[in-house]
Amino acid sequence: MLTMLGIVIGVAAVIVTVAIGTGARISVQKSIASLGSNLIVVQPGSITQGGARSGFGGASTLTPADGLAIAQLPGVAAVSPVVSLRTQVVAGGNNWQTFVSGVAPTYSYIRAWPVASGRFFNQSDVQAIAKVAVLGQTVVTQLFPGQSSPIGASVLIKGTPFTVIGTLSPLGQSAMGQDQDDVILIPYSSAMERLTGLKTVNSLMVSSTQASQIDEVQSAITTLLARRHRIVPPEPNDFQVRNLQAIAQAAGSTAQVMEVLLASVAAVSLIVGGIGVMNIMLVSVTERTREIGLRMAVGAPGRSILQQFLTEAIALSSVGGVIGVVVGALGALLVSVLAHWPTQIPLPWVALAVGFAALVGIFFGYYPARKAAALNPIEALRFE
Amino acid sequence: MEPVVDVRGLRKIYTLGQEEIGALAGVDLRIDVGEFVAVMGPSGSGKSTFMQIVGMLDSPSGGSYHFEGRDVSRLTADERAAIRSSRLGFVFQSYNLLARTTALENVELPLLYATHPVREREQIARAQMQLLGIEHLAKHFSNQMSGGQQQRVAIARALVNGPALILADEPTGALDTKTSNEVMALFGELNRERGITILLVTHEADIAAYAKRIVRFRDGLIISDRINDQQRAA
Repeated sequence: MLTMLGIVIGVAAVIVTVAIGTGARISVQKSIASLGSNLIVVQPGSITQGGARSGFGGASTLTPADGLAIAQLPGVAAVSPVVSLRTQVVAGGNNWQTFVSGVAPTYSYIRAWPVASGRFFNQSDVQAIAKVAVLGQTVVTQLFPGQSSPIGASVLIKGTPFTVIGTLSPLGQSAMGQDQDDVILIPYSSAMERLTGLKTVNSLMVSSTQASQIDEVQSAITTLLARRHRIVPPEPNDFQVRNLQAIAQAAGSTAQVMEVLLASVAAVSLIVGGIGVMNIMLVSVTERTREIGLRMAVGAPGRSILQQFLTEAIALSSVGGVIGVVVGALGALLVSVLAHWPTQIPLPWVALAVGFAALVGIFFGYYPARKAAALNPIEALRFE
Repeated sequence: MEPVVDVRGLRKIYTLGQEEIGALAGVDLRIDVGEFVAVMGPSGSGKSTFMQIVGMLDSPSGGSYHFEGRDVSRLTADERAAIRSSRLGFVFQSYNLLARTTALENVELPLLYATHPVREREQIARAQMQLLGIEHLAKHFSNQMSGGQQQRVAIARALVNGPALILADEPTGALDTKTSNEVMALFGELNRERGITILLVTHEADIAAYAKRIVRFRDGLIISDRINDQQRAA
């Protein structure tokens, strides 16, 4: 029916915007999650030497074996040791100071950081302590300016030549303003054997299967490492387990802002729809003046007339609301099919939209209903 | 027995801008149970205003009105609505049936406001239609019936609450002569056989002739009030 159009459009608009917004929020959350919201970092603890306490990472206690043990825990998707050093690297006539990170093949998955060309090193490279390297985009431009591809070329790291087997896709700046592409990744075994000569690693990066499990995984890691390192309370742990929840929280507040925005859009379109209902009800009161007069003549008290028109307004906007939800759902479906935009309709919003539509019916139906109830029955009966 | 209608010195003044128009200038009239009164008069004589005040759709500017012994001026709007729904029945010139509604539902309408249970409503309405011999019209919509049929449905609606008084405002004004006579015969029958009190407003002498008593209005006053000794029956 034409009379409900305002409400139908209002509610449908709400549903579509909310569906698009929610879909966007979920995909944002997904990409933030891939950036590390389910990332856990294990660092060695602090040591005290001659009264001076080093910061976290000062102790050399974490080994690749710890990483393998962590990988067995439930809820852990992948683990990678990280051995990092800052050093001068040379290729051809160019040299550049950069970070060299010794990592496991899982690192690419943990950081959700695929290669742009060539390949990432694999488990057999790690076992073979292979002299292979994957370069970040910044290193590529600094060491191989104007060259189409550095793959196959050789890079000298601390005097040891490494063969470039791949380049990483650009990641840009980190949240701290650090250039994340200024890095060379090599197998952690090669880094330990050929560069640092240590049996320990700087940190372990762990990714949990789900962001929601992060706290449980974190405490499981703490328990496991305390046992492996034979820590007896009240002795402090010689390691530190942290996660990147702060990023997840930032994402959460972004989502909240989005929701407030959507709520105001929802309110505005529903109010517009409500004004439509009021108009229609006013027209209806005029059209049915004779009917109102007759109802009064046969004994309807004013409040019955009020009730009747109010009920009609509420029914009109509620039914309009339900139709709006259906139209909105179809619209959302269309958006996801045609525009390939992920959409999702949250049920509380559906309930809210229909409920608000009914409320709009009460609010905007009241004035026309009052007008109907206040009609003079004689004039109403004479009305043509 | 209390008279159904007892008005004394009834006055009504309409204000149109600066001008005051006197519609009723002091009317005294008493209608007893079982009467059939026709109010006659030219346009502007005040007969319609009188009818509206008696029907409690309008309030007088002065004078008193007692309905079945109750002083109407002391009643609230809701109490007047309650009397309209239980003690008064209206029949209009233009039938005033609800559109897109069946005859049965139209007849049920007054029961709705007299708070009868739903099932009872339909029974009472059907019984009333049967009494008037129009039960075959129950499922017809207003636009599927002739004028005469519509007016009969309207009469059934007016009777359905068992009212003390039927107010008929030019009930034959939109009907042809033959149907008019049929409808008026029905009123006469209701008055004679069921003892229903009727107040009829008309400007046609041959319609008024069906009543037992004829009251003539002119310029807001009653100019004659006599028993109709040549009452028509059919």
